[in-house]
Amino acid sequence: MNICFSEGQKQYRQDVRRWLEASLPENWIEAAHWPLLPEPEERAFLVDWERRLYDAGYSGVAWPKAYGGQGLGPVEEFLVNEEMGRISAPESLNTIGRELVGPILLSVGTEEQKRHYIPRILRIDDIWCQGFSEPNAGSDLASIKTRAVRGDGGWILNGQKIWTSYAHMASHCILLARTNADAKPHRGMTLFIMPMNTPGIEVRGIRHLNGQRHFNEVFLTDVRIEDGMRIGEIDAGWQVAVGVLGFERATTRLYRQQRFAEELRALIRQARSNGSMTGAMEEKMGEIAAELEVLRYHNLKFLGRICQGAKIGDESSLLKLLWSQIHQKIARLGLEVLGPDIDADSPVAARFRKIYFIARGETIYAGSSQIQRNIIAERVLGLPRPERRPA
Amino acid sequence: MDLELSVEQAQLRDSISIAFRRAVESSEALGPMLAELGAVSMLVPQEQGGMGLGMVEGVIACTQAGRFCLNFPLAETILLTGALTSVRPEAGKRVLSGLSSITAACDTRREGQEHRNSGGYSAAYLDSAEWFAVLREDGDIAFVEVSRLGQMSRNDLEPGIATGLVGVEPVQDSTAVVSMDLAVERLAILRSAEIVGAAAFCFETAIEYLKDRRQFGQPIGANQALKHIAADGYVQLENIRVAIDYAATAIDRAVDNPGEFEWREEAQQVVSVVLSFVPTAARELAEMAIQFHGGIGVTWEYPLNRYLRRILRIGQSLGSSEDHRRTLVNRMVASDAEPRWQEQSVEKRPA
Repeated sequence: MNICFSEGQKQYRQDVRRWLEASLPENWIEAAHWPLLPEPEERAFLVDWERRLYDAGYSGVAWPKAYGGQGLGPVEEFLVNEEMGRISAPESLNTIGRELVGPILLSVGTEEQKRHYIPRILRIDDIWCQGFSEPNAGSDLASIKTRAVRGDGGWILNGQKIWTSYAHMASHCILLARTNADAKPHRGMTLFIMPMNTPGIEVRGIRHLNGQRHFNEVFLTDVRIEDGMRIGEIDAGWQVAVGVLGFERATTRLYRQQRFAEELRALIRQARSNGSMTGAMEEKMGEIAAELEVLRYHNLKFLGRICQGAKIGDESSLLKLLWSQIHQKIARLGLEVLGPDIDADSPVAARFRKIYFIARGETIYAGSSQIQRNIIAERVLGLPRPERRPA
Repeated sequence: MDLELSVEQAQLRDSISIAFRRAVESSEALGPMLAELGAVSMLVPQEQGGMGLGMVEGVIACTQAGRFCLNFPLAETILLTGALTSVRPEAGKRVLSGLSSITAACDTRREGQEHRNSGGYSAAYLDSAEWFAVLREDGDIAFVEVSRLGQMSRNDLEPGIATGLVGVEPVQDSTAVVSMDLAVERLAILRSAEIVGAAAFCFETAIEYLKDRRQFGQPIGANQALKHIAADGYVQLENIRVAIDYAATAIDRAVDNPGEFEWREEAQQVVSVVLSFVPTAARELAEMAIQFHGGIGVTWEYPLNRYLRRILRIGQSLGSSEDHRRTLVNRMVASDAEPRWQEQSVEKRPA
């Protein structure tokens, strides 16, 4: 066992930290910033920030140089993300591109797809959305009905997607569609790249609990795309998506721990200054502090395994369960610490209002907590599936 | 960065597991068997004739001791034999040959006791251990011969083991004092490892029961209500394991690098993390296993009984989680001395 970073890695962390501190907008305050900006300006701000990150070499850290990445390892990627979390740097507009599309293309995309799309994700020339969920296929993703049939030398898509985050600002969608109605549900789906300006796509906004337009419905009517926009083998979409998702769940979200720790620190400061810090409150905060520490140890353990080339499988459900639940605890703590001031006109109140509402969705998306528990119970612990009962 | 056992450590775990199984199944005295295995001398420095291994290996051994509910003060003996040898070489030899063992006061963190060798302490293995250790906050360890201890009352939390309250008289001829870096922290982690082993046994036994036991025409483990509790149990067990492994590694790093103040601080912080949740989490895993077993779970004879009692006895000695949680909050604030968050009025966006 070894819990030390190398001297070179420590130096790298210092460099990232210094760059971030020097490069964030002056008086960078996440909560004070967001509510001030109307949507187009917010978008412009985020795009500008991501380009600067890229120019400084802190984007696509572990992606190959051939496709515009930095060609460094998972440890460096982790360090950059931790440092960004530590100071609550802006979150990417292009998380779908970075966390889902990039890794999927790097693992099964054609050379042409990699050369074209990967650098564009890093430079945020393209913004991606994820067309997986449907009205009757949420947790039960294998039940999707959107069809892709051969036609005009390519594919013709028809159907409806929902909960499509960023669809209103996205240039591209990574779409899961049924290509084989006769195969078993998991074996008849294919992944596609769908440019959002293709005729036949209609996007309707859905307002999130937090008041903002966050996700959308996407309707597809005879949307025609070329076969070159297919990702991976025909009918292998599920295997690709699920394989990459497990790995991604374990790796790309590791930075959340630092972001959450920073939120907890903000609440400790707040409680000490507004007089709400009782013994009981302190104990509750200590419990969350311990959980965050344990999450960090888990992260480091996964990081170590990734460095050794180990496959990350179903056990990554543990991380998803932990971070989403811990964040909801922090969100509730925010309500307790701020009391009636949660509705105050202050950055800290705005910040924790937003955190509370956003955190509601975190135990739902990317596999709900209940789905994660099923995965752990059946695939990690080997508990049996229900048998058909006698009538 | 690597928080997995090395190949050698995994082999050590497996061979200890086989040996401990043989030991509990045998009717012979445990001490000499463990000594022959090298289990007693694991953490004793090489210059004292031991194997000079570290906390990671100590945790491996104590976890296995917990799995087999070994009736032997393994955590105390492996940690303290080296220290005892340095002040009482003859006594150390007896321990190393398995003729004797060391027990220690349960409560290592009692307030107001920092600089005292005297007082009333609860302890276990009072019928077999020859030396009783009091670990003090200042890092000193006082050894007293068990035969010189004051009166003791027998308790029945763990009936198979002679537990009780002992009185230690003020410093006397038979008291030997020696100092050891992070001794309190090391003992706490080794004891935690023992209850983790016990909790892991309970959890795994329960998972097998969920697969085997059939009701309403299917294994009870096919029911989602039980699956989800089991999944949370898995998460809890993994939390405990990773925290203890990290703590053991952090302590070894701090002990090997006495000049690195930050590493020492981190070791102490991880110990607080462990003590803030492990005793409770381990107990809850045993309780969960009992619930999964239904009626058989609440019988005297079924092994879960012994394991639960082992977890209770050791867990209760590890101090209040509240103190450790407060410590963590204070450390968290201290690590962030410069608040970046500035109060600044902003315009609210219309909802």
